[in-house]
Amino acid sequence: MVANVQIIGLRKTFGPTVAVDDFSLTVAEGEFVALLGPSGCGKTTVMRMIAGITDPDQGQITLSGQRIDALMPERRHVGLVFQSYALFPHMSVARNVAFGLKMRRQTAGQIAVKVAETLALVDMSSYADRLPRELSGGQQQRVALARAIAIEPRLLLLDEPLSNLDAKLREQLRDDLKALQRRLGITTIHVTHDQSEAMALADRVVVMNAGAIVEVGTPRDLYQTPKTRFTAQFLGHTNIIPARVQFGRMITPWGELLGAAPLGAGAVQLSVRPEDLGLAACDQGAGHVTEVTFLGAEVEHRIAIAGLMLRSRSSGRDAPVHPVGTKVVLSFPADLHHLSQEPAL
Amino acid sequence: MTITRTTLWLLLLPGVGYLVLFFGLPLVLALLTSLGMGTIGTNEGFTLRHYADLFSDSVYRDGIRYSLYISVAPTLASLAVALPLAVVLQATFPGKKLFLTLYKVPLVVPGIVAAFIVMILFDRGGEMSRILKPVGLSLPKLVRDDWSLGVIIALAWKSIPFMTLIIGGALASIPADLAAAARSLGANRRVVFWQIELPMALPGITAAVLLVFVGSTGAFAVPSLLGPIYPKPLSVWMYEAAYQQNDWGLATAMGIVMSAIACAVLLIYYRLTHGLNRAIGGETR
Repeated sequence: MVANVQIIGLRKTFGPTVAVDDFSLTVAEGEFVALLGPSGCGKTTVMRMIAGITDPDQGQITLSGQRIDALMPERRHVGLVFQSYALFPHMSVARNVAFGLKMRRQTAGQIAVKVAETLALVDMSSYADRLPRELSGGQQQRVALARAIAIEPRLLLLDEPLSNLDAKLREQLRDDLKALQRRLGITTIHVTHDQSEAMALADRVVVMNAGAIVEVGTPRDLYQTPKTRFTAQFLGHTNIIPARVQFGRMITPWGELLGAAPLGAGAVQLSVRPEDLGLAACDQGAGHVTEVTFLGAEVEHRIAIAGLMLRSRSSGRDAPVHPVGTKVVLSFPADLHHLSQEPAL
Repeated sequence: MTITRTTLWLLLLPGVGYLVLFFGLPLVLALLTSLGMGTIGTNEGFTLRHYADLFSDSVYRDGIRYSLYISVAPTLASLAVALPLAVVLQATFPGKKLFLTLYKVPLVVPGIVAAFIVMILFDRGGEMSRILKPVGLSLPKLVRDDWSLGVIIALAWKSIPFMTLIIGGALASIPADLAAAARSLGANRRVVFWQIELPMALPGITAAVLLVFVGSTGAFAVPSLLGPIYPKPLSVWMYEAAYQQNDWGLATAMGIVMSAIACAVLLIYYRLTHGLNRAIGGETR
């Protein structure tokens, strides 16, 4: 039942605007992939083309070897969950979940069993007779999820399903969603602009910008070794430091980085996460602290050095706090990372 | 903060006061007049004579039946055109903007003008029969005909844009995500319309039907010009009773009966759509 997905050269324009261009992606059976990008990057358009709500201008979409891009949406057997929940307001929870099963001409008995089973799966059994408007946002989204998975879809598409919920509930539902997806093993494509949500849920993240794929990788790879400046900055915070490699030595704007492994050649851009950037007070230090912010779990220092503004974060109870104006030296991790796909500055 | 009885009444006064003054009071006065205790015409003391006259005279009974006919038939005819039209207008097509402007023209055309348009076009010897004559076709009798087709055409022509506007608005307010979700669950366009869009647009459709129905009930100019010699609608008999026979008691009795019929039809319609909603859409609570 569960399908793999192959998308080749998908393109969509709205008038003069290119919404999606040359989008190709392969998703394995049971894999959870997140499409991540700022609003207007084309991620939702991709999802709508897979569901059949929007027709692509070019490209192919294949589910387990079957071309679906010319099929009517009702023939694709793909589950859809919207940010707006899109529950049928005039039907009870049970009838919402039963809707897709009725369309499949199952018997009343089969439908009743499946509805009860699916509602139990999302912990909504006791709400079967309620109308959508009598439920909270989180409950409505659970019902929307139940309605989509009740038909045992070959592919589950989630369009910003958690974005309308408050932070606490979002985290709770995120964990439930992940557990449910692992348990059912449904191939899932999740569209989101929230990088922490994408990292927490997905096996692989597809970073998109301006209608095109920027980078694809596991959350860990994209976070720790991004190839582009866009990915480095979209997933969390980072410090971008222009540097040169000369005679095997790493030269930064404020001088040589001692002990740094030679990496790349000529001009490079280093990407150092704030939590990887260490600092120590030193009267001969080239940088000085311009701002200190206490964030609870972490302390953030902003350091001005050779015309750059860098961030350093340290965590734990004993994290040192350096007052504004303190001269500091910086320490870098041993395995420095540079953005290999960025043009040199 | 607690609202005292006095403040509550003061707050209600503008709305309720308006209704009492301009709707309730005339209605009560008309009711009193029809019972022979009127302020217009002669005051003869309580009597049911006018109602007895009304219901014993077959001319007036036919009038009541005819009034009902020329309000129900145009409403159904309008609905049959306006509902599909409203659905079609949800889509985009070339020339839509021009069409959206043109189809509303009947809204600003007075009923009497609409009646004359129908007369000029469809009467024996009118434009249509002149155009069709060389082709060897002839129109059925549409003006002053037994089935009042001319009246129905003119009244429906007036109310179709109005109905389309209201139903179109109701359809447009349904979020597009709902149709997309239903499609993904295996529903084709037809099922989406009958099971999702129609039940959700039903309050709008109901409002449109009732407004058109009530508007047609009191139609005067159109049936006078295009209707058959007999029967005549109650509105025309009312005019004759009041202004030609100066029998205000009878005229107001007719008015009260007409209002009562309209109310009864509204109630029946509400019951029907309520049942319909339950049948096709699911629970209503």
